[in-house]
Amino acid sequence: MESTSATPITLPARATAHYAWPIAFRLLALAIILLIALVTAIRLGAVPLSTAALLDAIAGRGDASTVAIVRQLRMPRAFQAALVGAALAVSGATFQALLRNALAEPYILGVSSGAAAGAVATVVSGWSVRTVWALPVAAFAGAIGSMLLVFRIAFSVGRALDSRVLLLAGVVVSSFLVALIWLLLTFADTESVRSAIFWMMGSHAGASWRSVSILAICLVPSLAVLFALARPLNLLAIGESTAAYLGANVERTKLIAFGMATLLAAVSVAVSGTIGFVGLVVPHAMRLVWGSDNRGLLPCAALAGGAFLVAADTLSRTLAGANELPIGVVTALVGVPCFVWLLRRPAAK
Amino acid sequence: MNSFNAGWSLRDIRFRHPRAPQDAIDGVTLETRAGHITALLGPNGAGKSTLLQIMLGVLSPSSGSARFGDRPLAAWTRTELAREIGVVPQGEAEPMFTVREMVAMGRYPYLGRWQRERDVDAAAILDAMRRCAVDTFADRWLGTLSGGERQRVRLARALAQEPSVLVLDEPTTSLDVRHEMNTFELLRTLRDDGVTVILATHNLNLAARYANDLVLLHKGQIVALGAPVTVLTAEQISRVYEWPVSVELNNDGAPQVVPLGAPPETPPAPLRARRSMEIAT
Amino acid sequence: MNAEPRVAPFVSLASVCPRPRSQSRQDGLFMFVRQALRELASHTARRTSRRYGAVVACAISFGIAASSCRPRDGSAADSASVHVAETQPVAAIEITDDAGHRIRLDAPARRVISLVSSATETLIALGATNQIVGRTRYDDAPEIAAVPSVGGGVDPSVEAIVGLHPDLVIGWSADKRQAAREKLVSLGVRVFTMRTEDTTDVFRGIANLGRLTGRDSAARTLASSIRGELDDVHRSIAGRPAPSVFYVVFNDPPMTAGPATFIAQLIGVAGGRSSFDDSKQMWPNVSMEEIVRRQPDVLVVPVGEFKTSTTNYFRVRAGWRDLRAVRTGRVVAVPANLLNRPSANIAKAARELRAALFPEFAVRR
Repeated sequence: MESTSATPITLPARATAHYAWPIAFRLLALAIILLIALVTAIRLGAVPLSTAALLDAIAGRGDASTVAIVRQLRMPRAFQAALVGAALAVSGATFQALLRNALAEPYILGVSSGAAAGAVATVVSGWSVRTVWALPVAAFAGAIGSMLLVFRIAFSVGRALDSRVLLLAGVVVSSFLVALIWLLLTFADTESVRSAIFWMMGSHAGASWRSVSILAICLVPSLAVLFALARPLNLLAIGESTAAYLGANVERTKLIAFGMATLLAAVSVAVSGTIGFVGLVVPHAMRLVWGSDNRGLLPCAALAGGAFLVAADTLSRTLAGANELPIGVVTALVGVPCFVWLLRRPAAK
Repeated sequence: MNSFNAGWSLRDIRFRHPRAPQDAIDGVTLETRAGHITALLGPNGAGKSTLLQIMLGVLSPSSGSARFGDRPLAAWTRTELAREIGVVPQGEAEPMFTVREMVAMGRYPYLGRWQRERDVDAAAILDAMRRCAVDTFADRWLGTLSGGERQRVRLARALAQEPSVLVLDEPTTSLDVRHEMNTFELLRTLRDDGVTVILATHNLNLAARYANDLVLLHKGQIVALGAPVTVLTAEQISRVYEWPVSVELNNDGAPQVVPLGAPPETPPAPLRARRSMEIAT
Repeated sequence: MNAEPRVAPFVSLASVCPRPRSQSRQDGLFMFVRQALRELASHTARRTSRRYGAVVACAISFGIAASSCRPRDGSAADSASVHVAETQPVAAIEITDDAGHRIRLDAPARRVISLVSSATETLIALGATNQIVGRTRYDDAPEIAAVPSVGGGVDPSVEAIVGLHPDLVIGWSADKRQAAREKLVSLGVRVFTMRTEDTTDVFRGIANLGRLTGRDSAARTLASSIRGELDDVHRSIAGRPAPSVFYVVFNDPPMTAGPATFIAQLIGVAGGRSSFDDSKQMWPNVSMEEIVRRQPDVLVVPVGEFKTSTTNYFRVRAGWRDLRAVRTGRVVAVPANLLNRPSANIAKAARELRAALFPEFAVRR
C-alpha cells in the first residue's frame, strides 16, 4: 500500500488549532495584503512620481510619458506578477498534494526545462527576432511537451501515474533537457547565450495588457477548477488507496489536477521565464500557519503567492536604481530568510 | 448503517499482479458473515492485503465472482462502497491536518462538491471521535500525536463514514500492548453494535480471542477457515508459518499459539489445500 | 555643461511641478528649492553620487524636457535650446535602421538615449554630448558621467527610459530577444537599431547618427578624418611582411575575432593577418590545439576588462606558454575599452594594433 515517506518536513506551528481563523477572514487578510502590494508596485519605480501625479496618470491625465509609465508599464507588470505568483503557488500546492512530497513544486515534472529548451531554441535560431510571439509560444509548447514525455515514461513503466515513477521521470527528463539546452548554447553566439540566460532568470519586464489578459484567460479557469478539487486533493494527499476507499474518483481527479497544475506552470513560465521558490515555499508557508486543508490552502496560497511575487518584482525594480535585478534572484534572496523565520517559530509541544 | 446482509461472497477468485510469474490469489472462495469479526491470517506475502484490495474493489480479479451485499462488487460505485465500508489502511502519508479535519474526511461520500458540513455530519464526526477517544484533542495537529493516537484517529475517520462494515489492514502492527488491546476491545464493542469487522493481522492470539471467524491464507489460497479452534492448530500453523509452534487453550477456551525453538531439520510436509470451503459452525 | 546650471533651473522647475503654467519667477525659485530637496531625498537612496551637480543635472533634463515637449511662452525656451547644438533647417528625417525598420523623425533628435556603447562614443565624437540624456551603466566616459543611467544595454529599465522623454533610442541589433525594443516601440518611443560588427558598420553608424542628430557636416568630417587616419596607418606599414596575429577575445575557452569583425579588419589595416582568417563565425571558439598548429607570430591581448586577461597569464598557463609567440615574448597588451567598441575610435585602435605588431610605432600614452 502507500509509503509513509511523504510526511511533510515542516513542523506544526502550534499545538492546537483553536484560534485558527475562519477561511473568510484569512482570505480577506491576504487580499488586503495583495492590494497593498499592488498599490506599492504601481507607486514605486525607477522614475519617482508623487502620489498626485500617480493618481492623475491612472486617470489618464497629465504628462503623456507619465501616463504611459503608470498605465502601460507599471500596472500591467504588477497584475502580471500577481497572476503568475498565484498560478505558481497554487500549482506548487497541487503538486505537493498529488505527489505526496514536500519538495514538489510547479517545475518538478520537467516544465521549466521544457520551457527553457523551447525558448533557447527560438533564441538561438533567431526565430524570436523575426516573430514577436515565437518565444512564449515555443516555451509553452516545450513545457507541455516535456510534461507529456514524463507521463509517457510513467505509463510505459506500467503503473499509471504512480507518484514515485512520475517524480523520477520528471528528474530524468529535466536533466536531459537541461543538457540539451547547454548543448544548444555551446554552439550559439554570445548574444544568444546572453539572451537565453536572461530569459531563464525570469522577468516581468515584457508585461503588457495583452499578456495580462491572455494570462487571466488561461489562469483563472484553471485556478477555479483546482479550487473545486480541494476536497479530493485532501484525500489524495493522504494516499491514493485511502482516497479511493473514501469514495473519491482517484484517476479522474489526478488527471484533471495534473493537467491544470501543469497548465498553470507552463503558462507562467512561457510568459515570465523560470521563477523559482514561489511554488515551493509559499504553500509551505501557508501550511505552517493554517494547515494542509486544501479548501483554505489553495485560495490562500493564490493570494499569498500573488502578493509575494508582486513585492519581489517591486524590489527587483527599485533596489538598484535603473538596474533591474532578475526576479528569481530576489524571490530566493528575500524569501529564504522569511521562510526560515516562519520555520523557527516555536514548535508544538 | 443499513440492515442488509453486509458481507462478501467470493467464489473462486484468482488474481495475478501485472508481470508477476504466478497468481497472488489462487482460487479463493469465501463468505463473510455479517455482524461478526473475521480475521485474515497468513504469513507475509500470503495475499492478505491483495485479498482485501480485491474485496474493496480496488483490484479486479482475473476470474471468479465477487459479490458484496445484494449485488456484484463491480456494480457498486465508489461512493456507495464508501458509505458502507470504512477502511483503515496501512501506511498513509500525514499532511498537516487537525484531528477533526482528518475525521471529517470520513463524511466525503455523503457530501456534494460544494456542500458544507451539515448537522448530521457534525454529529457523526463527534460520535466517531468519542468512540475512539480522540475527541479530547480534536483540534491538535496530527503530527503532534503518538502513533497509537494517530491510529485511533484513522479508525475514527472510518467510523465517521457510518459504515456497516469496517475493514482494517494490520491495524495494530506498530502499537504497544495497551493500544493494541484498546483497539481490539473497540472492535469487539463495534461488533456488538452490529458492525461487521474484517481485519488482517499478524497477532494470532488476539485474533483467536476476539474474532468469530479466522481465515488462514497461504500462497494465495485458503488453507483453513472457521472458528479459532479449528484454524489454530499446531500442525497447520507450523506448516503455514514455517516455524514450530504449540497451541494451548487459555481460560476462555481460545487457542493461544506459542512459538517453539529452532525448527527441526526435516522439511515441512507438502501443503494440502482445500479449494472450496464452507464455514463450519 | 558647467555654465548651464545658472540658466536652466529657473526655466525648468515650473514645468516639473504639476501646476498651471502661470507661475512667476519668484515662485519658480521657491519651487526650485523644494524640488531640489525632494530630488535629493529620493535620489540618495538610488544614486551613488550625492553631489549637488547631480541634482541640478536632473533639473536640467527636466527643464530640457519641459522646453522641448511642451510649447512654452516667453524667451525661456529659446535660451535653453541655444545650448543644444548647431542649428539645422527643420526637415523630416527618414532613415532605415540596420534591422530594416524605417524611422521617421520630424526634427533632429534632441534627446537621445544610446543603449549601444559604441554609438555613445560616436555621439560624443560628433559633439552631440548635450543631446545624450541617458546612458547605460557600462558607459563610463567622463563626458557623460553625469547623465542618468537606465540600466544595462540589453536589459535597460524601460520605465527609466520613458521617464527621460527621449526622442530617439539607439538599440542593439545583436540582441536576440529584442524585448526592450518591443516594449519601447509599443509605448511610442522611436528605436533605431544599430549593427556594430565591422568597419562598414562604423562608417554607416557615423553617417546615420550624424543625420539623426542633425550633425551631418560633423559626421562627414569625422568619417573622412577617420578614413584618412586609417589610410595613414595602412600606408606606414606598406610593403612589410604581415605577421599572423591571434587576438585573444577570451582566453578560456579561447575565443578570437573572425574575419568579418572590425577587429580583424583593423588588424588588416594595421599590417597584420588574423591567424584564423578562414573562420566562418564572427567570434569563433577555437581549440588550443588549433592555435598551436597555426603558431601565430603575435598574441594580442586586450587588458583592462577581465581580471584574468593579463599578459602574464599566457606565460604561465599550459598550452599558451608553449606557443612560439609566447616563448619569444611577442605577447602585447592593448587597452580593452579601446578595442571593444567599434566607434569613432577605430583609428586610435588601429594605431594601437600597429604598435602591437610593429613596436617601432609605439603609441605614446
